[in-house]
Amino acid sequence: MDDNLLVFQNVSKVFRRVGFGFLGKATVQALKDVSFSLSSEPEVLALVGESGSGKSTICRLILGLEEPTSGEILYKGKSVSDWLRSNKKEYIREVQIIFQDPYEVYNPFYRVDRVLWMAIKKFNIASGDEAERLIYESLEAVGLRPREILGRYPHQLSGGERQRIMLSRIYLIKPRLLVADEPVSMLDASLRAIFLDHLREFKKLGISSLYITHDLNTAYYIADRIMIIYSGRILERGPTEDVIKNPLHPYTKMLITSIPVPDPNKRWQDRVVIDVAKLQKVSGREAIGGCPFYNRCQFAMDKCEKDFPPTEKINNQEVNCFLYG
Amino acid sequence: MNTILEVENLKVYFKTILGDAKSVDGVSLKVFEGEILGIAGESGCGKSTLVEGVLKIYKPPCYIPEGKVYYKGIDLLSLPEEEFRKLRWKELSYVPQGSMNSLNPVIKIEEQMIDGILSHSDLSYHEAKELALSALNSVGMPPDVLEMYPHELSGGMRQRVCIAMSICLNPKLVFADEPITGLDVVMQKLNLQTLGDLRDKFGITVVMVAHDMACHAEICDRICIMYAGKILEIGSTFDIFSDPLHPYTKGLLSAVPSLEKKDLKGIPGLAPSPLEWPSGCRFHPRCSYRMKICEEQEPILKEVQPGRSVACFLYGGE
Amino acid sequence: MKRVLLILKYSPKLTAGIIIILSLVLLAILEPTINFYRLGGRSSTEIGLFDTFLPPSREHPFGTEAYGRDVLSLLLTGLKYSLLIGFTAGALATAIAVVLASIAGYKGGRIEAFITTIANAILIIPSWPILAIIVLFVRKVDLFLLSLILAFFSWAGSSRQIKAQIASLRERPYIDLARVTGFSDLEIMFKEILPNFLPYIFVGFSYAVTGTIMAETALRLVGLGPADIPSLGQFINWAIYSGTLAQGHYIIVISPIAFLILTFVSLNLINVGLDEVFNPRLKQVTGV
Repeated sequence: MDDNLLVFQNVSKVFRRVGFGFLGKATVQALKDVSFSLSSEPEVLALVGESGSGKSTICRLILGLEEPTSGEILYKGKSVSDWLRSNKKEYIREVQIIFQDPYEVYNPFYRVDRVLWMAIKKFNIASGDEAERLIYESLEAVGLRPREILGRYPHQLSGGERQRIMLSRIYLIKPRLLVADEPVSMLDASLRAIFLDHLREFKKLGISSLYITHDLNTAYYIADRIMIIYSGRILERGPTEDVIKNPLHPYTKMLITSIPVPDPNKRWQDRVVIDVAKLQKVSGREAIGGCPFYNRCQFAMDKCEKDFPPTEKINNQEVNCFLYG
Repeated sequence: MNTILEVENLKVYFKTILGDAKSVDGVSLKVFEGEILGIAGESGCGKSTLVEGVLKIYKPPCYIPEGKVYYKGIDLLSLPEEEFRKLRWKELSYVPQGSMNSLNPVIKIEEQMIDGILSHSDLSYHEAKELALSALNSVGMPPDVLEMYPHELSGGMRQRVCIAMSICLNPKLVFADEPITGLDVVMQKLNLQTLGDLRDKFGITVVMVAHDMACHAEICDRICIMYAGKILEIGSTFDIFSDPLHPYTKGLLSAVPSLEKKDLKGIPGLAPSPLEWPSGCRFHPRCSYRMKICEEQEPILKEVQPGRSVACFLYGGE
Repeated sequence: MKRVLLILKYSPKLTAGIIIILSLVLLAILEPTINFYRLGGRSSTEIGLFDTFLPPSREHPFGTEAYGRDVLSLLLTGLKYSLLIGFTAGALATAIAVVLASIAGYKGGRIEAFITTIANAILIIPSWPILAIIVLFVRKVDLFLLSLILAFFSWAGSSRQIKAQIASLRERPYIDLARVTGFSDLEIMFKEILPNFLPYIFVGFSYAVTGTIMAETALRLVGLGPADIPSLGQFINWAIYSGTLAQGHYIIVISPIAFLILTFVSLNLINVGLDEVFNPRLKQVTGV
């Protein structure tokens, strides 16, 4: 079966908040019963969700920065916790990340070269002249000029440059799986395309990417497949073109119609109506059963409150909604 | 079309160890009554600083070396702070960036709104409360909100409370700085529509500062494109999107992703630093249409068609 | 180097503070030489070298005091000891604070709670009276022991700030980056976190120095503390108890106080100056 690079099997994650306040519940169910897989064939899988949907948790679970409360996360058939216990070095060489914040990801005390040298030393990639050559190569591969980058401190470079250095770090390490956590959301529009193109290019180097974002637009641009996550549950998934052009889940449809289109001829025709009773923040998901989107869904039925819909396969898409089947 | 606000060659600088950071370096524009004007640009272009300069809410090391701002004919910058204070909130109002996070978490919304009203007017508590209720109603929020604490509301709702706060004293002109950053998609739509309502239902003029071109497309009547402390192009939203003139505008638009197209192009090069703007046209290092003159001289913002101005040598501009 | 000069030029307060404290330190270092030259090998604390209460003159720029000692020489000696005590105690306090706060801030959990409780206890319990009692009962106190005792009561103050700083630094993405590159906890502590809060260590240090000098001076003013360590505080104590003030010889009392104030002011100027330079808002705009 395992032609899959990464498999999430019924993963749930509950966070226990240390000490509780008047600010919310003591436990937060970040993920509930999440299952998906990334094939060994290099691809870009987008995980689209809003803040609080659980996407960052998935990111941290893959990297081993957190452990699942239940369920299994398998990398190349072996569980991540096993990897970290027995072959940690190998695992972190193969599974890497690009963070969202191009500012905070650099230690302001050191020059930017250091992030590259750190990788070279820790992963024994090369040494001496060979190492330097590789660094030059990796910077040029992402369109940066080594002479203008090396020797600088983070504050002397722009966000776009810093994020691209992170890309060259990936070039150096050449992992198998890259988790990109909102890598362009803090970049200016004019710099995003360049960055995303490189991310797409990684497929040719044999690197599969999990592209985590809240922005459907960029997901549409680079992803082969899309998963829609809401409140800790995956609601829909499928090939990008299919999910965008033919959205099945009411949440997906709502996302698509709520995005502003950069064309004054295509302005929103409908208006959002606030349901006064639902003003309040959804604090701590009631994922005891039932579809988390129940509160906001215009098609909600009684059974949606009690049970979570099973996965239905429609053409190449999969959706969890009682409207289907 | 009445001009409600006119900015003339405004400069807003920051004193730093390495010299002056010229964040806003000679901006001139007019805001017409009853419109929504968008100020678009990427980070570092000076758009937020521009608003802070106009409303005189900057603090040292920021200062204004040159320029004039006229609100309904009144010279704002030479007004003593006492007088200006009377204008703020009553005529000119402001929804700052990230304001939804600046609400005091331990004070009820009611108190915060009324505090704001009382500090800018001579009303009684009761009168102030009436105004607060009316403002909340205008943005479609129920009166119960007054009894809540900020943390009980979602980010998007808090932002709407901030919008409501800004219109309590019935201002004529509201500045909104990045009003939808950090909000969920549906909240973004809701809040943008609320800003649109300010214009449609209450005749309030809105100046919206945002980097997201799609937002400008949705609700703005006219858009100013800002880059490196200067305005490069001004025009109606339809004109800007259908026929962008300035190379930067073209680049900016082609870099905006959408579900309607599969190609995205960026703009090569990097945004310059306010400590040392490029010579001549500030965009020339990154411009694919650049000519010799672009390096040497700075183009002037010139009206090339009625209602359309651009600062580029491709269209005159000497 | 150029960066340093730029920083100094930018903040006159920082520059002024540094100049003053360095001058004071220089005076303290040169004290043995200066006093040897002025007193020909005799100790500045030796009683009866000169006549009492001589007015300021060329030989005695500040005059002499109640026990026939040259005021200027006493001042320099006092400065030396006060600074010695202050810097030693300050260094000890800061070292303790850094170690404990680092452990607390980085590890979190029960360890953090434990250390924080101790620190809070020291902060809440009025330390000065206890300090006074300890000094009263410990008969033979040398300079190091005195510094140690002072440091014990002083570390708690700066530890809170340091701990909070570390706890926040721990959350920074660059720490995560170090983790996913395979750095161990210890490596992260030393290579990633420590360099970034050096400015805070200095601030903690200067507060500790100021605090301990003040505490020591306060002890002296009530007659406590080893009499054989002639700090500025002790000098003031001698002056007051020998009726100097009552007889109107103000300069003898004011001059040591002036030196103390200069010390505090210069350290505070450095703190304020550092804050100006490292001010985050400035960083955003200029990247300095």
